[in-house]
Amino acid sequence: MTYPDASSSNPHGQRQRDLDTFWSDLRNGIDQVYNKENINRQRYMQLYSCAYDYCANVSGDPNAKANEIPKPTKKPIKSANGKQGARFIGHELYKKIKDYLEAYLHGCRTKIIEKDLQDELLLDFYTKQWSDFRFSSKVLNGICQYLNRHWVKRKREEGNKKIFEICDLALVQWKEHMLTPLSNQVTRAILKLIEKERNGEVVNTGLIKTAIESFVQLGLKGSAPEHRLEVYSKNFATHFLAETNSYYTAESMLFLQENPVPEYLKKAEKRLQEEQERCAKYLHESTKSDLEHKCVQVLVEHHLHIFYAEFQNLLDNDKNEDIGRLYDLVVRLPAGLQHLKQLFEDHVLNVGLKAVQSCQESRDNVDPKTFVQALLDVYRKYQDLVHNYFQKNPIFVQALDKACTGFMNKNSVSEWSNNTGKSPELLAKYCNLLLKKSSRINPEEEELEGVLNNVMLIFKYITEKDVFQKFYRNLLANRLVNDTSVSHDLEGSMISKLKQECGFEYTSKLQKMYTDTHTSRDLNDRFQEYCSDNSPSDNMQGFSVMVLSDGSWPYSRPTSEFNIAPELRNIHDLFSQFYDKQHSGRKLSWLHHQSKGEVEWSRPKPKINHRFLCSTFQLSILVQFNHCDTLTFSELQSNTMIDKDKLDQLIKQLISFNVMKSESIKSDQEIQPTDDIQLNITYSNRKIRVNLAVPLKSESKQETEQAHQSVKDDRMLVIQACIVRTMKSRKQLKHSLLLAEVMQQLQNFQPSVAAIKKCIGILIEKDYIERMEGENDLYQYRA
Amino acid sequence: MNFPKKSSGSSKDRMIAKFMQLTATGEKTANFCLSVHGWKLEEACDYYFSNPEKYCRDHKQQILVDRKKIQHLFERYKDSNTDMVLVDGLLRFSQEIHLDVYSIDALIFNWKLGAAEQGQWSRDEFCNGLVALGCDSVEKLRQRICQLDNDIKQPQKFKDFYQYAFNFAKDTGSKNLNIEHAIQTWKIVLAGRFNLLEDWCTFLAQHDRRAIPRDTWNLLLDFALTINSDLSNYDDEGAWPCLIDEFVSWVRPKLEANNEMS
Repeated sequence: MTYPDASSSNPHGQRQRDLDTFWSDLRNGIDQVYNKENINRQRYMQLYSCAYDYCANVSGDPNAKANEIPKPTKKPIKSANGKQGARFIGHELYKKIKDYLEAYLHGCRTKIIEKDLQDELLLDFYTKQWSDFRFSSKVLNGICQYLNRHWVKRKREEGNKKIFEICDLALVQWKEHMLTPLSNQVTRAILKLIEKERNGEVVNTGLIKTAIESFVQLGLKGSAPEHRLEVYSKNFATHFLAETNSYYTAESMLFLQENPVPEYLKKAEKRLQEEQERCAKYLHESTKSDLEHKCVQVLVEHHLHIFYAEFQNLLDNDKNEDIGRLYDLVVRLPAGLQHLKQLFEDHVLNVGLKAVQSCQESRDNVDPKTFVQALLDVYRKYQDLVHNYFQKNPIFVQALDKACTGFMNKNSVSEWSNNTGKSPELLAKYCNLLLKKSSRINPEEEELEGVLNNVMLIFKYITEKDVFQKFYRNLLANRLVNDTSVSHDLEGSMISKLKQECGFEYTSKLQKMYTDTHTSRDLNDRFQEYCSDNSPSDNMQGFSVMVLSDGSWPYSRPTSEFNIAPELRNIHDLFSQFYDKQHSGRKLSWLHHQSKGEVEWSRPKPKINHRFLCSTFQLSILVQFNHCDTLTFSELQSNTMIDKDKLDQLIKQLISFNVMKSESIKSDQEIQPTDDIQLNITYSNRKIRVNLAVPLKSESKQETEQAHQSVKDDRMLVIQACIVRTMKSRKQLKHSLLLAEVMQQLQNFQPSVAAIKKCIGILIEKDYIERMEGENDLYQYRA
Repeated sequence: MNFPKKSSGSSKDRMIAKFMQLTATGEKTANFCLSVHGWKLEEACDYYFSNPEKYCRDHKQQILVDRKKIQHLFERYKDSNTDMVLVDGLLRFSQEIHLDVYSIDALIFNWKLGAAEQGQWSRDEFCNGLVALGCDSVEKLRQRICQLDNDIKQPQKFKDFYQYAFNFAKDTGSKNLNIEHAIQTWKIVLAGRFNLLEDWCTFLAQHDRRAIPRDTWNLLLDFALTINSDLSNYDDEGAWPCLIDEFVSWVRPKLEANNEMS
C-alpha cells in the first residue's frame, strides 16, 4: 500500500478516537483560556497533561515521519503503549492550535468589521484584544510547553523556521490575521491620535503605547536582530516620520509667516522637547534618533537662511536669550554653526572697531584708560555670550579670540597713526596710570589687582608684545627712579603676571629693575651708617642713590661731560668711595640726567622762601648764582660743562619759569655766549614747593616715536638672530620651512614675510647663509 | 690623420659644421672635439668652451698665436707709468679692434680676459686673454670680436658671464653694486633675454634704492629665464629676494592694465 491511512487501520482507529477525545478536552480548555475564564491550578495541570498525552499518543505516518526520529533522544519519555519508544510527534496538535488561533482571530476581525470600528474606537478594541490575546497566548504556551520543548524545538533545530513556539505562533497568527489586514487602519488611528496630541488635545496615550508595543512584539524576539523591528518600522515608524515631516513643515511655514522669528525659536525649542518626550513616552527607542533628525531638519535646517538673518539682527540688539535659543537649535546640525561662527566673528570685530573709534577724541589724542576700557567692555560682553549662551563652544571661543585679536590690534587708532604698535603703547600707558601715584585717589590694592588682571586679558590678544615691553619698561623705569609707584608689591605682581604669559625672558629686564630698587634701598641704609661713622660732620639727610644694573634699564650712559655742582661734590665722592669698598671691580657711572635735587630759595626782604624741586642740571645752574648775580652763557657753560644746545634749552626753560631773567635773550633765538643771565630776584609763587623738573618740551612726544622706532630696529635684529639660530641647528633649510620656523619661534610680534625676506637677504650679504647652487629656495648655513 | 668612420654620415658633417659655427673653430678642432666626446654636440661644445686650448687642433690658429706679438701689442697700449693698460690705452685699443666699449661684446671681451676691474688690464690678463682668444694681431682680433656672442650661447657660460658682470661693474672694495651701474649693466647684459627688462629698469629708477646685493643680481637671471612675461608662474611665496617681490607687485597691475587695453 502506498497510501497508508492513519484512520483506516484498526489500531490507528482506536488511537484516533483517543486523540479526538484529547483534542476536544484540550480545545475546551483553550476556549476557556481565550474566553478568559478562571483556570485553577488543577485544570491547568490537566490541560498540560492533555497536551502531553496528545503528543505522546499520536503516531504519525511511519513513512512520513520516519526521518523525524533518526536516533533516540537523550531523555526518553515513557509512552503509554511503549511500543515505539519516545516519539515526539506534535505536528497534529500544532496544526490544530494554529487553526484554532486563526479561527479565533478571524472572529475578532469580523467583530471589527461588523461594528465598523474606526479610529480611536478601533484602536481601543484592537489594543484590548491584543492585551487579552497576549495574556491568553502565554497561558496556552504554558499548557503546550511539552510541545514547545520537544517537537517544536527539534523542528527548529532542524532548521525549519516556519514552526514557532506556541507563544510566538500566536504572534505570527496575530500578525497574519489581524495586523496585516488591519495595519492601515490601525496606523492611521495612531497617527490621528498623535496629531491630536500635537495639536494640544489630551489623548489616551496608553492606546498608542499598547498598539506600538504590539508592533514591536510582533517582530518576535527569536528572529534575527535586523528583522526584529521590521514590523514596527514598516507598519508604523516610516509612516510616522513622513507624517511628522509634513506636519511640521506646514506648521513651521505658517508660524513663521505669522510670527516674528524669536517666537518661532521658542516654538521650535518646545516642539523638539515635546517630540523627545513623546519618544520616551510611547515610541520605540529606535525611532528616537530618526525622529530628532527629522524634526531638526524640518524645524531648523529648512529655515536656516532665516535663522542666519535673524542671528545678525539679534546680535545687533543684544538679545542674548534669543541668541542662546537660536544657538541651541542650530548646534544640532553638524555643519550649521560654521556660518553662525562667521557672523559672530564679524559682528564682534565690527563692534570692537566701532568702540575704538568712538573713544578716539582726536587724531593724536587717545586716552589710554578710555581705550582699554572700550576694548575690555567689548571683550567682556561677548565672552559672557560665549560662556553663557554658547556653552563655551570651542568654535565660538576661537571666533571670539580671532575677532578680539583683530580689533584690538588693527583699529582706527592704529590706522590713523599708521602704526599697529599703538594698542600695546596705550595699554602700557594705562598700566602706568594705574601703577603711578597721582593726586587723584588711587583705588585699593585689591581692586587694582583686579584691574591689572583685566589688563592681562587684553594683553593676551596683543600681537606686538615687544612694543608693550618697550613702553612698559620705560614707564616702569620712571616710576621706580622717581619713586612714584603706588605699591611695590603690585609692581612685582604685575611683572609676574607678564612672566606667566610670556615667559622668563620677556620679563627678565623688568625683574632686574624691580630687584635693583630693593637692593638700592638696603644700600642707602648702609650708606647712611657709613656716613655717620666716617664723616659725621656732613649732613646726609635726604640723599639717596639708586644703583641700576647696566643693560637692564632703558638708560644709556652719559656721553657728554658734566661738572657736578661743588656743593654736591663732597657727597658724590663719598658715595663713590663707599661703593668701591662694598663692591670692588664695579664701575659706577652717574646718570645725572635722571637725578633730581632740591634747592632752597630765600630772600631776606621781603622775606620769601621757596623750595625748588629740580633736575641736577637745573640745580647746578642755579647754585652758580650763590656767589654772583650775573653770569654770561659761556661762563655758565664752562662751569657746568653742559652741552651747549642742552644748556640753551635749560636756560630758556628757567627763564620761562621766571626763575631767571635776561635782557638780551629771546626765546626763539639761540643764546649767544656773551648774553648775560641773572636770577629773577622778584620771583614769587603762591606755592612754597615748586617743581621745576618737568621734561623739556617736545621731549615726551619724541620719546614715544623713538620708542616705536627702536622696537622696529630691534625686530630686524631679533629676526636675524632667529634665522641664524634656526639655520645653525638645521644646516640646510627650504625657504618656506625657514619662514614657518621663524614665524613660529617669534612670539612677541608677528614678522611680515617681507621683513623676514629682507633679513634673509641681509644675512646672505653678511655671509651667514647662502643659497645652494642650482636650488634657489634652499639655504645653507655657513659656519 | 684618418677618420675612418667618416662614411657614417652626413649627420656628422652637419654636426661638425654646427660645432664650427657655435665655437668659431676650424674643422679639425671640431672633428677632434666631437670624436673625443662621442659625437654629442652639446657636450662637446661644453667641453670645448671650458678649455678651448686643449681641443684646438687647427694649425692655423695654434701656430699663429705668437706670444711675442701679443707682448708687443701690450707694450703699444700700456700706460707709461705702470705695467697695465689703463683707460686711455684701453680706449685706443678698443677703437683699433673695432670694439664698442658700451656693447655687450666689450663686456664679453673683459670676461674672456678675466679682467678684475673696469678700465684696466694687467699684463697677465691681457696676454693670457689674447692667447685664449687665439689672437695675436689687430686683424685677428677684429675677426674674433664679431664672433664673441658665440661664447655666451651656452646657458652655463652665460650664467658665468652674467655673474662676472656683477663683479666687473661694481666698485672695487664695495660689496654691492650701485644702482646706476646696475641698471646700465643689466640693460647691456639682459637685452633680448628678459622680457620685462624695460619695466625692471624703470622700477629701479623710480624706487630710490640702495645698492644691489649679489644675491639679488644672481637671482634676477633666474627670474628673467624662468618666469613667464605675464608672471603667471611667479610664486609669491617663493624664495625670491624682496626687491623682486616688490617689482612683481609693482608691475603686475601695469601688465593687467595693458592686457585689458589690448
